[in-house]
Parts: sequence; structure tokens; C-alpha cells
Amino acid sequence: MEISKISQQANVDSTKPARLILFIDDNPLVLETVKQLLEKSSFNLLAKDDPFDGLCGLVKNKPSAVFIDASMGAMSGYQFCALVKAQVNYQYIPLVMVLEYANDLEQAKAYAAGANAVLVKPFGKNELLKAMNFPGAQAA
Amino acid sequence: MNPLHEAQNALQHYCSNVILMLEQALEGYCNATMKQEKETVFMDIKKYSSRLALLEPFYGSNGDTTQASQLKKLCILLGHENYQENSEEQILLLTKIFRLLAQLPASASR
Repeated sequence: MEISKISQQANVDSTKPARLILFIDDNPLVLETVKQLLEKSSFNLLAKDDPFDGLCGLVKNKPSAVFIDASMGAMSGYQFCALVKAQVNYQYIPLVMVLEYANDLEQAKAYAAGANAVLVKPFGKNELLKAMNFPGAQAA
Repeated sequence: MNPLHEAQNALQHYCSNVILMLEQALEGYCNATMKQEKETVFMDIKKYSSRLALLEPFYGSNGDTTQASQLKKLCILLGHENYQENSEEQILLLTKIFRLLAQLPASASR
């Protein structure tokens, strides 16, 4: 889909080393919102609207962190998390599960699947940046 | 079923579809007579084989040692190659491999 082409890169503050964030969500509006939220931040954005394209992007670019929507048709965020965390070469990459609701059960499922943090929709810039500050994220 | 097994099944299904599209693209390449048509199909071959190559770390971990699995892995390894526009030999090799795949029982190859 076109969104993955148009929102590849957010504007980057050239005084800071840019880190790449891979955000996977099948809703183009969410990807566009994330792109706007990360403008003028120290993060570059790689946006994908399909979990399999997301896996390809992960292998190709080795991002600093991955945000994955929990509810996608072809492969859920939980399945994506479990797959990445089972692969020794990629399990070090921090994963943030993006949930529709702040539900205890969904959060428990996210952590059980290997997520390092959760982010609940709708979110603003502060919540997005805060989600990247979980323990271990800075080392990635 | 746990999320990991579900993910592996979903990935296997996805990769089977990509292999099918790659097979069709290879067939299209062999049948194409116009240069422009060949170039278009060639881009598809690059796209599909590159996708299989990138997904290989997650795809080949189920311990399956059947001949079909080995052939698929070989195709994936070939996908790592950087195709040149005139790499007729690579295209022919891939085509032969897929013809071998087609001769295997459907249950073993897909």
C-alpha cells in the first residue's frame, strides 16, 4: 500500500543520532498519525501496513524498536511478537504491543507473547515516546 | 495452539503463496517474448525472491527435512543473489528447481 512509501521517514533533528522505529499497523490513519507525532524527533519512522512486510523490514533494517498493532488479520501482534522473540538473531529488538483497549487480559497476553511494553490507543506524542523508554530500550 | 505455532502456520501459508506467485512469474518470464515484458516480470521475480530471502530466518525453523523443504530453502538461498538484468542462467536454474517442485506430491511441496 502507498502509505508504506510515503511515510518511510520522519523529519530528523540532525544534532542527534537518529534511531529507526518500525511501526506496523493495518490502519493507514494510525501510520499517518505516528508519522506526524515523530516529526522533529530524534527518530526515523519505517511504517508498514502488513505484518509480513513488517518482518521483511525488521530483517532488512534492524530497527531500534518495533511497534506492532495487536489486532491484524493475517498475523496478530501476539503472533508476530512470539515469532520474533523465538528467533535468536532478532529477539533483542524491543517490541511494543499497540492495544485497542487498556484491558488487563490483553496486556497479560502481550507480555506473555514477549512484548517489552504496551501502548494503548489513542495515544499522543508523550505516550509514544514514553513507550520507547522501557528498561533496555536505550541499549537497543 | 500457542501464538508461536499460529504465527509459523500463518507465515508458512504466506510463503507458499509467495512461492506460487514466484513460480508464475518465472513461467511468465520464460514465455515472454517482448523485452519490456521480460523486464516487468523480472522485477516481480526479484521482489518475490527477495521477500522469501528476508523471511527465511523465521520460515525455516520447523525442523522439516522433506525434499520439498530442502528445495524451498534452496530457492530462498537463490533469492539472496543480486540478480543482474541479463542473469538468464539464474532464471533458468530457478525455473528448473520449480519444475522439480511441481513434480513432487502436492502434500509434500505445499
